[in-house]
Amino acid sequence: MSEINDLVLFRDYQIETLSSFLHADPKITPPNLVIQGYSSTGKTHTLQQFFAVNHFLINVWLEPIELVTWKPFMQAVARIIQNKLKSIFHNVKAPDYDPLDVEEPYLLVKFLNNLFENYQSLLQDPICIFLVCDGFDSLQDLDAALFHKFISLHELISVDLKIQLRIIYTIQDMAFIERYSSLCLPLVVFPRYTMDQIVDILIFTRAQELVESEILREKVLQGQIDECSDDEFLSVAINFIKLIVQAFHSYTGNNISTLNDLIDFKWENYVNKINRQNIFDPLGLYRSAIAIFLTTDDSLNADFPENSQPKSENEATQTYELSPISKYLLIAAYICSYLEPRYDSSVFSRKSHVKTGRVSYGRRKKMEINPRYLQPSIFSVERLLAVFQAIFPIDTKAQRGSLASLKEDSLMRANVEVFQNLAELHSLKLLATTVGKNIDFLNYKVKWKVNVPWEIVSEVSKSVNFDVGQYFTGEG
Amino acid sequence: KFSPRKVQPLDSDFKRFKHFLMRHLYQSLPPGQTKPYSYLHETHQEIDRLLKQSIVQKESHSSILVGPRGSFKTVLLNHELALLSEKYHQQFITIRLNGFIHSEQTAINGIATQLEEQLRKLHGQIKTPINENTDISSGSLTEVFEKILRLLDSAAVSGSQNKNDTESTKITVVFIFDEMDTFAGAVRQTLLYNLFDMVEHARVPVCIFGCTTKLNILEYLEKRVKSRFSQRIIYMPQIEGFQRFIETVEEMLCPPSCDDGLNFVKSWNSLVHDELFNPNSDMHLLVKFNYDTFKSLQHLRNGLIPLVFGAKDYESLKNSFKTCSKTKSYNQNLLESSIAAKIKSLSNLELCILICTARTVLKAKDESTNFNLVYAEYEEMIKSINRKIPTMAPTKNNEDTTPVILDNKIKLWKKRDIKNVWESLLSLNFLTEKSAIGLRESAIAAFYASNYQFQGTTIPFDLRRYQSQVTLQGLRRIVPRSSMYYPWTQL
Repeated sequence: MSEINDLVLFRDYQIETLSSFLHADPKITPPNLVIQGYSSTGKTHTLQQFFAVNHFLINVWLEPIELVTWKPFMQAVARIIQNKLKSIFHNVKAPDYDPLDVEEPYLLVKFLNNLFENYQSLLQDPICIFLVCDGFDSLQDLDAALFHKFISLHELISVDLKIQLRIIYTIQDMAFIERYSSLCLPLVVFPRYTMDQIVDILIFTRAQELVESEILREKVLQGQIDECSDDEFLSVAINFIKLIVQAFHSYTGNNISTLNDLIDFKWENYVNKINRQNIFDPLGLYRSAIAIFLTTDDSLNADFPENSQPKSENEATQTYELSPISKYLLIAAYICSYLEPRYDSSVFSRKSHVKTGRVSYGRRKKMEINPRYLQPSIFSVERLLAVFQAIFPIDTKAQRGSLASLKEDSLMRANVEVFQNLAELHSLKLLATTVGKNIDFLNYKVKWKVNVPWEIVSEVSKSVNFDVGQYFTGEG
Repeated sequence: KFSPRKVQPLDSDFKRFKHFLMRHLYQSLPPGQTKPYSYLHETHQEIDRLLKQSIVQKESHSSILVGPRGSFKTVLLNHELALLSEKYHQQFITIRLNGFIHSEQTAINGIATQLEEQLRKLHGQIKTPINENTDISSGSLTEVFEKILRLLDSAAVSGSQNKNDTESTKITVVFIFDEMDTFAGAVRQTLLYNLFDMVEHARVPVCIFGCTTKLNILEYLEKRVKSRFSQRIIYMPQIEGFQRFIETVEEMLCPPSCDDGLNFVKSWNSLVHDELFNPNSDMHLLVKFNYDTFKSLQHLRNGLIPLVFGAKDYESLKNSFKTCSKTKSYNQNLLESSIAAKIKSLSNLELCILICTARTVLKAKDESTNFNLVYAEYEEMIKSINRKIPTMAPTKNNEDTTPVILDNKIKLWKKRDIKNVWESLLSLNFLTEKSAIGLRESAIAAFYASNYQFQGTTIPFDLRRYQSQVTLQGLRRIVPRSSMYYPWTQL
């Protein structure tokens, strides 16, 4: 008890409750214990430390996330328990059972019954073996009945056996536990840390590591900062951690692993700003390293706009390397999805009218919600081609009024390339259709929609010098 | 900060008492020393009568126990069987099936293996040479089923193999079905049919207990199954009235005083009695609270275990029982992942986004929203907050007349950064995908779902439709008035 409090911060209540539920004696240990806490609340760490301190408790660990479905899960339960017992009681000649035979829940019961029976003569008093299912609800093919299977395992395993299985589940999702609340399983909740607790934990876990990091050592040697003691280095590291938390806490929330990532990302840049003057002056150091505390830089793309980067270089990198036809098709698809068909004629019609007739008036009133925020609506492929033709630029090579200009189309036709590009856009998942499976493109019932957000379409349109924004200004 | 606590050796007498008390709480004392709670007395008698009739007098019976979860169905059966096995050890074997673990198919194998195992134990571990009769659980499914049926039907259990057995009486087979309703599914119900049929026709005495939580269990049964069932349904009694409840709590807490050498028992029992029946004591209030809300002995017991185990000596046990602080903190701890607690654990920005989500949801007709809408709302909200914040302040310094420019605006985070916040709200279950089916009921349904590609996964991140788990009205009650975002918790 006393040791573990030094290793685990802010989990005193949880440790105390765990130690009152988990014993070596199966008679005073509940068959199932549930530990709940959202991610990075110290469930696994606390439990590991608990078993490290109470090393006389036999425990085996499983991570259901690696086991995907229930069958490998049950086989892993059988295998890991058998291996553990073998390694503990290696003087017992016990027959090996094949864990892969466990293909049904009841075969797991049979397996465990047979397995435990081999150790019957060996032990005086019954003992517990703890199976920790770390992240039970992270099993990918989880269903509601599986947890029932596990919690009723103990009822089918004979109570006279000297080895008794006790299962501990760590579960993230409270809604999952609430499904089984009428079973009244003992539950220990790990609440989320507060911001102050997070600062303390990060300092406790990371500060020493940062001080000993290679980068800092090198920098100190280079900058010939020799009048520093380890305490001062430590205060630099602690200060850095505090600054990181203050700057990014609202971005990360109370999530330790995200903050840890940010510390790792930014420590190198921070260290580079250290020199002889500012190592003793935290405020000065903060000012000189201000850039790293302003943006998260949480992206693998280098092309996000930054002040230092020249603009021209930025524009050169385009989001997609599509053909011009594809780009215009994508823009046309976006227009089709987000403009209503009834206003098409007022937007795109340019022909002078040979026959008489009124042109469409267009939209009278502004829409309340910008439609670009909503999901794309579907359109037929003919409308897409019409809009495509309306927006696709074609430069006439022939002279005006010449005979050649009669032969030349002033508008783009839907030739083979257009349909090829269209099909490719679909297979790139940039365009989507209404039905997913076995789609028949030639069917008139198939409707299309665009599958890219506004940011990408506006970038694509910029690359072909087409102002897609003008079609949407009236509505925003 | 964390000074190592001195671990004091426990008084060994007290240690034994504590252990004894814990075992009493878990009802894991030897069967002679445990007593079912008195409100269960009549049901206990009924079960006892049925079991004795079939074990001692070799009659066949079937009955179903109906009661909610945690109403001591299994506990009573186990206790009764443990008691009987002390006296009539050679007379019966028990076969347990659980509807969650056994399916219709595997239950047959389950019966065969258990039958084999139990018979082997009964016959004193003598490995009889493998012949067709003893090796029940081998062979194909139909063979196994055939064998079981033949075995149970024709009374071959003790008759043919053990000719040297002095007892010529038959062995009773006690079946215990947990979650019997899963065997009484929509199709066929073969297993139940055959077993209930055995009760009527077999020469082996068979006793079947089904445990279920469904009140209308008879409606699940097919006509032919129902007609073979004895129609004996035992409804588990519920605790009636607070007086009865508190008496039961006393029974739960007070171990039988017959034990020798445990000088604490008497003093403990009187302490428990005094505290429980004193209407002003913390314990009484705690029990009252439990009665008004959960009315669950198990829930109460879970909270009492840290209390009992945490005591270092009898004095501290007494004190902590009087204050109940451990149980209270257990109950409090259970609520620390509730929605309200989760909202309190959010950072500023996360809370802000959550409020924006609730606002957009409230505005929308179908009560759903997406990332785009929420970000637009967020942008608007921050801009309007910043408009109200003064950015200039006159200096106090008289010589310098230029106003100081204060940058106390709220930071407007970029759309890219908010995505992280959005995802953490998702992982904290504040948002759910629109009309999503979370957890499938069975493995088959989960399998089908995993082969299906949902529309929500193929469309871009910021267009996915989500529903909020908290409403704006709910948020308004949880967000403190001092919060900057409190005014935004109403439209």
